[in-house]
Amino acid sequence: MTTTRNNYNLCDQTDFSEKVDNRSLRWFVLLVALVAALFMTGCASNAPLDTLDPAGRKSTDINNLINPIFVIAGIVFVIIQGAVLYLGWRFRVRAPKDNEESFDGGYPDEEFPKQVHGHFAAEISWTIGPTILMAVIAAISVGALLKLDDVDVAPDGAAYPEVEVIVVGQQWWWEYQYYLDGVEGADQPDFVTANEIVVPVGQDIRLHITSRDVLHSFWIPRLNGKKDSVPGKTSPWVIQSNEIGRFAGQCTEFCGLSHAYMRMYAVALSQDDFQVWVNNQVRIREPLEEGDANYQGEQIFIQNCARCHVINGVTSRELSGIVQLDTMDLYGNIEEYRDHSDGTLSQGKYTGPENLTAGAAPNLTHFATRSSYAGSFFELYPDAQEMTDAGNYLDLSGSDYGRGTLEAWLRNSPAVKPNAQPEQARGMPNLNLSEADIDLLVDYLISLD
Amino acid sequence: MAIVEQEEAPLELESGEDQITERPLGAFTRPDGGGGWRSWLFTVDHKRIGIMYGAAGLLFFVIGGIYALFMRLQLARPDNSILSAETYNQVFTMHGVVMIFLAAIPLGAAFSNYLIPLQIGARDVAFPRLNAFSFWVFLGGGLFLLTSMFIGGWWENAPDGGWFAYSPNTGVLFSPSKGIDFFAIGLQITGIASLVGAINLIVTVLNMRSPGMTLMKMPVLTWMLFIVQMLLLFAMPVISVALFLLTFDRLFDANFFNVAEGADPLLWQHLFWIFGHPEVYILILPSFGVISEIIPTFSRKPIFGYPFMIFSGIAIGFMGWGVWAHHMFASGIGPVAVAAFSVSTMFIAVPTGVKILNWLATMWGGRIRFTTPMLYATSVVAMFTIGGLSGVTHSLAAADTQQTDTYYIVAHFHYVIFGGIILGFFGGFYFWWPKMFGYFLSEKIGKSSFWVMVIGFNLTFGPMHILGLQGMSRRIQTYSPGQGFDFWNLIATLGAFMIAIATAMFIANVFISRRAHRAGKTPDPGPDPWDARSLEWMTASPVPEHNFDEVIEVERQDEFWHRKWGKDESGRVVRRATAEEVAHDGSNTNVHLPSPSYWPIVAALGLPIIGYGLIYNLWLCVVGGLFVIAGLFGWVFEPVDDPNVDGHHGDEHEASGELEEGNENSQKEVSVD
Amino acid sequence: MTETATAQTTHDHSEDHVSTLGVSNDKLGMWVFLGSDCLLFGGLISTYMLYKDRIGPDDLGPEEMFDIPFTSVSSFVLLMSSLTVVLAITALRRNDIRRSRIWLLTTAILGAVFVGGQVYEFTVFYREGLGYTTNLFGTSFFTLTGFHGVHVSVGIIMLMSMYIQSMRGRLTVAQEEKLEIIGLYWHFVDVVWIVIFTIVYLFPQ
Ligand code: HEA
Ligand code: HEA
Ligand code: HEC
Ligand code: CUA
Ligand SMILES: [Cu+2]
Repeated sequence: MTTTRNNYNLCDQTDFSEKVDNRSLRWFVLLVALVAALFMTGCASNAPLDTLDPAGRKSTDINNLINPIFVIAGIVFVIIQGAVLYLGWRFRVRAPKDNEESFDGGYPDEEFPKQVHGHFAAEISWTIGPTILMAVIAAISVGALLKLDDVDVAPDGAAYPEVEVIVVGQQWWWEYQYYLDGVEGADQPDFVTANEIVVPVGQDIRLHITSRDVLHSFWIPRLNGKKDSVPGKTSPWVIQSNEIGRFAGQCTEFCGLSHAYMRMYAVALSQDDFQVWVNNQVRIREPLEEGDANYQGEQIFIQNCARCHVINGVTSRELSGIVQLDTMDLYGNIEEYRDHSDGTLSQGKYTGPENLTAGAAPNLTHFATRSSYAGSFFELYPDAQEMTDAGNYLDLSGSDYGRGTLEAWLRNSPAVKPNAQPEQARGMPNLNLSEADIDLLVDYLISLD
Repeated sequence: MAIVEQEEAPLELESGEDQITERPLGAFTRPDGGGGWRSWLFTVDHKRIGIMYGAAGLLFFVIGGIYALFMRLQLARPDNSILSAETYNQVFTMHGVVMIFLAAIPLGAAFSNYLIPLQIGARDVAFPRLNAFSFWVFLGGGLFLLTSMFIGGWWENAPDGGWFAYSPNTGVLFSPSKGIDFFAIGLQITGIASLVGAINLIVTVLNMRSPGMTLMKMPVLTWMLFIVQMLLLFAMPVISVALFLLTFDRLFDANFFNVAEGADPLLWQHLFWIFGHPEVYILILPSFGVISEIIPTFSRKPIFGYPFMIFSGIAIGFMGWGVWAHHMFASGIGPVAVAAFSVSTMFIAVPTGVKILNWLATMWGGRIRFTTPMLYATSVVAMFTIGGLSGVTHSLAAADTQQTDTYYIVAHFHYVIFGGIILGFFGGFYFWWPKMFGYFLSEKIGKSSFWVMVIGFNLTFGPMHILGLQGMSRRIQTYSPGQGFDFWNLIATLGAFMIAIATAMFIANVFISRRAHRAGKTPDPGPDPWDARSLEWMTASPVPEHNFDEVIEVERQDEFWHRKWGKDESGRVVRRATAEEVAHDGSNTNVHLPSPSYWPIVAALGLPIIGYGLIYNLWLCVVGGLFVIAGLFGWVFEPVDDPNVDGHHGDEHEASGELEEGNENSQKEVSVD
Repeated sequence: MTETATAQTTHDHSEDHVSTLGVSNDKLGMWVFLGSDCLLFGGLISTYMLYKDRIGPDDLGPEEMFDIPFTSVSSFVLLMSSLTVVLAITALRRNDIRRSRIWLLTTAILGAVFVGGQVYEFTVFYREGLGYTTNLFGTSFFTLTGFHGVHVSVGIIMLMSMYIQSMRGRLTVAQEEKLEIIGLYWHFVDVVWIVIFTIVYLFPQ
């Protein structure tokens, strides 16, 4: 029960009544009991985003910093609250007329305590005392900060020393560009995925966090603190997990309409599984032939979806229409675009209504290997958490999936996850697909393993 | 000492028809002091303006609180759908903006306006008409902001970028509704009000103290309010710049926050928080001042360590300028900057701690009377400390990466804001109510509402610590079951409704107590109901329009108390005189008062009109501009006196120049000693 | 004209209440306001400094735009106006109404020449292709200098209204302080310009 450690006891703060007679004592006990009961029930639930339940190196460092601080704060808390209660109780005088509107009139006016104007030594001591205390805390804290901000990954013994990921936030999902040999010198990611960042267990992975539109914040509480994703700027960050499993995250910088629905997962796989996963992700698809299963679905996809979504090998933005990926810079500034209605290639920024403000939609090449979609707000596989924690992430795409929600997403995505479509080009629009098309599309999407 | 020539004809405070000798002709007359609503609309009396600030601030507090209740309702259950994401974003933004800019600052301004002149023994503020102007500008700006709720559709055009409105989310591209325009222009307008008010009060404190009242004899409250005005003076232009840049971006296609053009979105954050952090001390220091008056009064001891109280206030004010980037620990400003701001933030705990401990030392050995104001004041000491301590946990930058933008932060700032400011202000209301309105607020209702409020407050915001540490992000419109957030959110919602009940009890108290007093069921408070210490208690209750009957010569700190009480040989406190003997009875009618004026409100009215003009139709700007010009013109050319006084020095003043108030400045002083 | 009350001391207009610091409220108020205005320009100058180099490779930047000799002259003009406003004040103090009027007008004219120069500069820039929204340099440059120009213009309006008062015979020694306060403002605007001129125009060279 990690959370109860630093909770403030409600009664301590509130009850410094000037009358501690029997009646209020009863109330007091009742209140304590009530609060205790509340705590028992309240803490029973498990919290996937718990900040005090570290599962990685960085988050453990943070925890080791904050725990003693909570203790110090707790001590100061008890001292001050205790002093308020004690002084209030010890030095109170009662109005002589009980149970009456006494205002001030009832008090014996002529009685005064000793008139003390101050005590220099005392005041100096409680200036210097906290100063020293804070100086100690400051030294510890700066040390911890520099350690946290040290983004040099420890390569010794690591199985995949070079893997780096550019994390791009946009309204309202995350894109992960994997560079298997590091970002330096590379001009193309090896593959691109969305919403779920997959890492090998035990190993530090360096992230480069940025944004294509507004501010977001990348946060997997059990692995590390958060880092804002700022357009026009790349912030290095490191995550590492000590355990195999799936760790929830949430975009924490307010980023507009669907901020609440902008979540993500970090998945830590065993080293071997990670290699298998990578090998699959770099795989490029072949366009289906007529007669193949899902051929029809693919065709519908190319007609309706390819202007935004890319399936490597099948569609590209260049192929399908509006935006050419490689002429779009990291911030979503589009330098060249092709108008899909007449096929002309134009220079400059495309701002037409049907395009996306951030200029990108999730890459769907291996959609079915992800356990969640659309800003990780929807689970694709109901058993994803258990299976991943048990190390069976790779088997997900064979398991049952939640067809209903995926259908709903394709039917009318703004209805299930608020976005700014159709008035503004942000998020996925309602494409008014027929039910038959939706069926075919779902079959197709789920085949993208 | 210098006194001033006295008017020949005695001046009636109410409108005295018989006094009129000649009424200046033409447009530029001054309103007579007459009663009714006009006496409020055109008043330049700092007390009335203070009361209006208070009333408006409370009104906005209730409005902001109602927003909060809707938020809490939405968050009470997982996957709730009382508010859509679109509405929720507007509601929490409006909640933050209204509470900070339209409730907390103005409530502070209410205390500043009402009490500063009284506590330093002055007749009014330095520039009475400017004071009225500030108020009307604030009110106009506030109403302007509120109208965004319904202009152009119900909850379509309210600001939706959060109270700190981070760019680039506030650019036209991402926030195409008019909301951010309302935000930028509305805050610009209320900012003018704060700035003008600050200038006015700074001059007042520096220049209009009673003879003998040196700076180090001023009451702690006046000191804290003075520091607040200094902070406002330097903080307001910074947010002004930020808001100008934002407005130009949105209305004139400038590029200040356009990342595509290479702009740096962090510029906004720096500008905002350079303002924003001093702003939180702008909010808290008035409350610190208030309880520094209440605690000594009811402990029946002088404030413990007066110089330390003052210097710690100054230190907080200064240090507040060097910590702003603690709101940006996760922004990626680099480890060196983060470390520096983290350390500077921690040390603010020191002067604040001095204050806390000095209050406790004031209570130590006292004979404490737990009246309602004292209950509130004590609760501030306890509750603020909780918020301060969570603040210290944020200041550890590494730890803050887990905390920032979670409900743990929400818990922090509501503990300092509600626990520090709002509770303190309620204490202040109960304390000065008899002084302001001449009747007591019921202690019975007061105490019970206090307990409801404090318990409700802890139930609302206490659980938010847990929620935040369990990872609940702020500004999310909903959460899913299974995230572990369900239970404490429900409790928080319950608590919020308890706060609402307590607030309603306070409002009811006002009316019930007034009725009781009118019916003669409660005693008159007299000038000094609490055996208090500072000069405002040295005049009748409610304070007569002219404040004091005569100039008070100050010799000591807590002058009033020392006039009532002395010490015998053995050092025991003995009575020298009763409060009634010492206090003025308000009977002097020979005091020349600044006359009411039409023009502050006329000039102020122009600003929101210009605001609408910028958003909707530039022609409206012309109309608004005309109001402003007419207001300034009338301001400059109106005679100095109200029509009820013979205008024997009116002609001299008519030839006034450009500077506001400059025309009222030509009476000769006679030095006597 | 009145009897002085000695037995019962009263105070009068708060406006001319005993001033604790010995400075009039009006003048103190102007000082306080100028303190605040420093921060306004501080913010704008910082913004400019941050953005002045953020321009595309073949965009118009400070080096291409500024005409230092021209701006030096107009800066000099503004500087001189600080002198003339002092002359106006001292003349008024000597009760030399005519001279003070002349110097007032001169100051206003010098200010107007400066603003005129700025308008001219802006149009030249605009013709050469640097509009308000062209790039970050343009945006922040026009905003900063524009705010300063507005300050100068407000000063000119104040000076001119003093001038009009003077023409109507209403500017006398008694109003000396009023002029002094306007002078304060005027000096401030000048000093700000010196800062802007140095930082904006001279530094990049
Ligand atoms: C009244 C307003 C007020 C006050 C007084 C404070 C006071 C403090 N605040 Fe707070 N703060 C806010 C209002 C306020 N704050 C608001 C509104 C926000 C959020 C804005 C937003 O994001 O929307 C915020 C956010 C905020 C953050 C950013 C968090 C984040 O977003 O990541 C930080 C970080 O350092 C912080 C720190 C502090 C500190 C150290 C103090 C200190 O001044 C506290 C000092 C007091 C004490 C420490 C208690 C008493 C001391 C003692 C008893 C002595 C002994 C104690 C020790 C030695 C520890 N505050
Ligand atoms: C002065 C400042 C102030 C005050 C007093 C409050 C008071 C309250 N606030 Fe706060 N709050 C902020 C400033 C303040 N707040 C700020 C700055 C933010 C950040 C915004 C942002 O992220 O941009 C915030 C954010 C914020 C959030 C987080 C929203 C989010 O991130 O999604 C929440 C959630 O519960 C909340 C709740 C409350 C509640 C329940 C109260 C309660 O204490 C309110 C109690 C008051 C009432 C309930 C009054 C109602 C009274 C009546 C109804 C009486 C009946 C009427 C008559 C008889 C006439 N506030
Ligand atoms: C105008 C652009 C656009 C079009 C056209 C479009 N999408 Fe999308 N799609 C998006 C965006 C943007 C998102 C991310 C939305 C979010 O997470 O909030 C998305 C998300 C998705 C996702 C979730 C992906 C993930 O891993 O999170 C799926 C599946 C999807 N779209 C399928 C489709 C299909 C099928 C079609 C065509 C029938 C289609 N999209 C057409 C823009 C588009
Ligand atoms: Cu993205 Cu919040
Ligand atoms: Cu702060």
